[in-house]
Amino acid sequence: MLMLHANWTDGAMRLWAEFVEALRALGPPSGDGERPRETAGEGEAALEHAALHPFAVPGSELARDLLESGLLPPDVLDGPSSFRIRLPADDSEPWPSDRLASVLGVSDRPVDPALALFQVPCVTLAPDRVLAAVLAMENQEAGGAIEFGYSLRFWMTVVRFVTELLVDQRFLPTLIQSRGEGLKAAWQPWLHDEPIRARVGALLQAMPPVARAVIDQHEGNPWLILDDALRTLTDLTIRQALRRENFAEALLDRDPQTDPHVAWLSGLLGSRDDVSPPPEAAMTMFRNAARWVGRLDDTGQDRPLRLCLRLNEPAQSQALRDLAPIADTVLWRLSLHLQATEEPKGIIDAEELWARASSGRRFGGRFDDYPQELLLTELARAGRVFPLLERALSESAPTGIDLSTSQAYEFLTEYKPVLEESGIVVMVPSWWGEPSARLGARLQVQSPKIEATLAVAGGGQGAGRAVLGLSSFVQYRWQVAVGDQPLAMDEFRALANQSAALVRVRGRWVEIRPEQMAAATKFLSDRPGGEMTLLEAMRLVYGADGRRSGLPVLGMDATGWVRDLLTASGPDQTLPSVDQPDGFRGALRPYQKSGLSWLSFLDRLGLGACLADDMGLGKTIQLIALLLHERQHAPPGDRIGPTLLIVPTSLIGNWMSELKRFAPSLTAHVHHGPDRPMGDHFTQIAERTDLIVTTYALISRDQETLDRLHWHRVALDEAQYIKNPPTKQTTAIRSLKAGRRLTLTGTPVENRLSELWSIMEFCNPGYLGHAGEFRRRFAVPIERRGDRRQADHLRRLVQPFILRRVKTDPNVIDDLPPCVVTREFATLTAEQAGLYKQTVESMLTQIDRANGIQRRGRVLAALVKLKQICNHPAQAQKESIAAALPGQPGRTPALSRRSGKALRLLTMLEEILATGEKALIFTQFRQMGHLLKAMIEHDLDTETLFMHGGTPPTKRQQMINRFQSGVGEPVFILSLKAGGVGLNLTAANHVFHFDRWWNPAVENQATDRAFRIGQTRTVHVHKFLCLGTLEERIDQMIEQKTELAEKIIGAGEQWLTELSTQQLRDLLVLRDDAMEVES
Amino acid sequence: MTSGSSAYHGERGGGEAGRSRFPDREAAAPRRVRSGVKLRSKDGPQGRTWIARQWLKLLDASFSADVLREGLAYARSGQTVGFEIKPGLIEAQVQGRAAKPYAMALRVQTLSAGQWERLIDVMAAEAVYVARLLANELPPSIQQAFASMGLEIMPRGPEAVVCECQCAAEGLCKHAATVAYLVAEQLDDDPMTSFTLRGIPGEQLLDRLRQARTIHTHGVAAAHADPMIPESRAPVPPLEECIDDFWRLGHRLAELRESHPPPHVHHALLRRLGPSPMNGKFPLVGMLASVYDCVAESAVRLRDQADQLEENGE
Repeated sequence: MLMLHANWTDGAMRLWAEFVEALRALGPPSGDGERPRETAGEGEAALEHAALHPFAVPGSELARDLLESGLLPPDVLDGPSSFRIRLPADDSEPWPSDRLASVLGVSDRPVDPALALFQVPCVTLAPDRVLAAVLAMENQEAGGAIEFGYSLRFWMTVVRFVTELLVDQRFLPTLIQSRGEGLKAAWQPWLHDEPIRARVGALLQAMPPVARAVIDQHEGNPWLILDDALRTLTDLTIRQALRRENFAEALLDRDPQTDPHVAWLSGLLGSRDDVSPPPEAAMTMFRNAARWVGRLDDTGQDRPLRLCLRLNEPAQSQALRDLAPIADTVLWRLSLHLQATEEPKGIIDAEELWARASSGRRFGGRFDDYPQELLLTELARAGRVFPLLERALSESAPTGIDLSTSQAYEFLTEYKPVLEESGIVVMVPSWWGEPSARLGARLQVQSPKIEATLAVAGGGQGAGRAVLGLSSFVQYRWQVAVGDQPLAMDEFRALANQSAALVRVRGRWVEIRPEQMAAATKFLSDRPGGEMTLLEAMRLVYGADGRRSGLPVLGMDATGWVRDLLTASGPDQTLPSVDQPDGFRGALRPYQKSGLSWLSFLDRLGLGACLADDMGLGKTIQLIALLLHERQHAPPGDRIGPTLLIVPTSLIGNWMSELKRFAPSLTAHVHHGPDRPMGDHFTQIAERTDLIVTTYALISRDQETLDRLHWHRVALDEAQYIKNPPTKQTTAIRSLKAGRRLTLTGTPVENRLSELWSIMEFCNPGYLGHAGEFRRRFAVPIERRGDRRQADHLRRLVQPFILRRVKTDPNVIDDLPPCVVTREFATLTAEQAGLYKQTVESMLTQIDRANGIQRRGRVLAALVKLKQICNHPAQAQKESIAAALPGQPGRTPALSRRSGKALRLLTMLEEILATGEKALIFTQFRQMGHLLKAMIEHDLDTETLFMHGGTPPTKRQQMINRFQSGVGEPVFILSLKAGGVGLNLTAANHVFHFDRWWNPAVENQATDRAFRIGQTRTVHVHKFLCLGTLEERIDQMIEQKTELAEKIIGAGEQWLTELSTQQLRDLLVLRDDAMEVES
Repeated sequence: MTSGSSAYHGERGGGEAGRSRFPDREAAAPRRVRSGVKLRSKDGPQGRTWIARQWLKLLDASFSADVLREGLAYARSGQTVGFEIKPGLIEAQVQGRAAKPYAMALRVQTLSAGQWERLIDVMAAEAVYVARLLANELPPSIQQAFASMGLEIMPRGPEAVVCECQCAAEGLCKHAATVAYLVAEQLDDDPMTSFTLRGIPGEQLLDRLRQARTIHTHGVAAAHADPMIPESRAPVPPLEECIDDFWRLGHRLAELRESHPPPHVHHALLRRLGPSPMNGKFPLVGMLASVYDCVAESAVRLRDQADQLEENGE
């Protein structure tokens, strides 16, 4: 596996990579040994000599790997070279980079590493192709054989930034005079204005130290490095674009000697950057260029007063007629004012200014000597941007200019933004830019009441196919409107005949875009109303459809069941509430009941639903309640068919235990494990079962068996597992035959668009269009361009199908107790199970032959080992880095894949992080802490704190402060001994006990780090257990308060050594049938 | 173009000579000029500054004593209708005995472009010159900069100043002397005028000095100003202190991912720049407009290709 890095040095982007296999050949770096450090003097001497980086890939091999992997197109590489860089090293061996270390599961760094100089082989990206190359790379998922280091991510962000600058035309030509050289022309990124300046500042502070560790002329100065990169990339990319279009040809018969414009352009349009005017002219040219470009700097920021232009709409007395052309005699006044920079309310009119005898005046505590002159100079400056203003300059005491309606429109659309950028304040009527001043269309949809429809269809729950739903037809009619005011058709036609862009409608100014009007007229006369499917209607209204009505679609009004659907998941939902089903043991909280009524409502409509409540709000319970509810309300004699529930393997245990606890009357079957029934046998079981639980992995493997049934419902838990692009598994899941579809997820899907698409595609196929169309219309505009309109459309489009309550919702928060404790049952991976069995067997044979202290020692040792196996095989085997490395080159199975608990933890953490919450993780084992840190940092790309017995006190306090602060790391791993008592960590509202201490008091003390005074939210405590192992059995004993349990709690693990071999066997042996449930 | 010259006129401007019934005949005494440019000091120029004294010394060396005496008298009584100092040249209208003022041009020997080039380089090497000049002061030590190249700040020799006047006199006439005295006073007021006399307007010299200084200190000077990024001035901790976070991105990266560029304003920079101040004939702004469009289109294409927005392949 390669870990790819990037550095900018010598005016070019260099890619280099750490090579895991080469690192393995070197043997493991030792993390804890303290070695004698070189003295400072020696360190400096070492700068002279750079050792070859021992596990960096040779340039030519890297080039080959990058091309073969398809990460880079063939024409962007300039060939291998090398550079010198200082890297953290341990005894003169470079320490692997963070991400590499986390792939390897090493998070314990040398105690006292130093920097050492290394020669690093690299490949160089052709400077004028950097943008194309890096943008292409950015969109390819890292992972597999080549992973991206943070330095590369940083430069990807820089490249994206430069691209946006070019797209937004934020660059300008300049001239540069170097010592001993002729004048040169260049393209320069324009970074002076806010908010671009703030973005550059953020880039600068995001630069990882490795990006400035190269030995070159910039001497590690972050700004010089970033500035060089920004300028070089801007200049070369522009020249490349211009060369491709042969811009330089325009200058062919022009003489740079006589025309400074030609001279300048000759250095800008082609590959050559030298400008060769006559020496005399060079200086004048440079000075003029500086003056010209300098105009951009002048945005009046440093002046106490600024020019302010106010557009005043024509007085009512000017005979403004509705829906009629506005006469040229109607005048808008653009009036002149000065505004105090520091006190925007301090505005003085030009009239007043000219009326004053003395021109001096105090503004906001600062004194400006010559406000009159300032007004004139600023007016001249504004006139460069908006030439009509020059009319004012021909008066001796200008106060403003008059504009016709079309000029006023031009001012608003064309000139206002540029004037504002130039530091001139522009004030316009309040209606400008408001939706109420825009013409649009609303779609009016009519549908009957849901009861009526169901009655007509003659079906109820029992009907296999839904009669309602997205493909049902609804009556529609288009309604043209200004804001929320509907227009009559003849009013619209009158408007359509206008050529002006600003017209009067019912006494208000409205902006109409003449080019839209023709399209709109045709669209409306073609199809003023009729019938279409609900799917078409929704997609049309919310911009998922390519068809354009010509007018912006302002929204949708509906009656009947469509109206219910549109409001059902919103705050104003009017669904009749559903009672808690009879068979449910326990009490549904009020928000859970409303969740249930929503789920059952969508079920009745035949629509797929996504329940996306925050973790801890009880999605499982709501689905269980739904299963009970539909059985309770089924027509007599109708038997509701089985629901197929697909979950990640690590969740099977959880589901079964919840089901047993809350709905013992439901029959369930786990389809999992090597001996699972297949074919007809399976069908027979399924037909008499309410719920079949299986895993994502088995869907494609057992497709033939699962496809035999027409499921009453297919439900997905952790639905974000159906990822895009589709895998065999996803395709198999989508092809399952189901009457109803339902998904559960705790991640805020609305913000993760590719997940959102996958989930919606399962729930309501075709609703969001095919993947590419969705990406083009929604994902890219929203995620990359910040398109608020499409974001709003998408939100409205999916809102009827997603119910998401967060813990802080007012109607949820009151229902939640201050502390919620849940057990999270994980399953062992095959590797873990094998190790576990082997360990139990060898221990049992050993202790049979041992006595007394020896026996006791062996039992305890085996016990610790079993707990470690439940945690992670790598922990149990005390693997060195080398052993943790992949067997075959090229592929590294992620560490997390080897432990059921780890997988479960990462899934849950992902949800927690996505909602911006923080978590504590307690473990008894320091090594497990390191493994956890590595897995979290690698898989979730999240920085993680880890405090253990060896953490020095000063560092501990730093960690606590960082965690408690707003910006700090969101995950804090603590060894139970180091962090179990005393600390205040209320920033967390999730506490994980990754392994168990068997002493509730100790666990509670640890929980109290977060659950204590100062905690304002519900604390969720997650206790991890591996199903079928000693963890589960001991937990049961404690829960049931058995006699043995007393011993356990009192004496730690000593009591185990007292058990007979048979008792031990019963306690420890892995139950293969742990997940089987009688059907 | 910037004004490379300074003009001085009597209050009512030129052409205000006293009227005569015999306009074409020479009078015995010079005609009076109403509100002509007069010497401020009755006694003649004071030579308060060293540069003005150098100028007066040049006049002593170049003009005959009689001519100077007559010129001083003219200058005192305000016979000069107006004058203008251009690079290497003083142009003036002086009222003599003729009906109309004489047009007079006094040429001062200038330095060549190459000499200026080297001089500016020498001056730029010492911050003190630039600092004093920016304060509109001419430090006497600047003579060393000239001396180091075998030059002097005021010309020397027979050809140092040359005059062309409409009057009948040969060589340097009293009209030239008249104006020369006014120039001496001007030098007291604005010592930078001395550079104009030697061929480069003072303002331009300052521009070039600034630029040369930037090149001197940074090796390079650019027509654009560097952006002020406050973060670029923050102290950078030495790498040795960053080992813990050596490979880590700073937390502000998230800010970048979340923030989006502001709405696009078409050709915003170009429209803020306005017309080019260069006297070029080729339509620079129009060409740049096409450049902006071409570059933006090509960048959009790059971005869309990378984001797989292109229709093909789907």
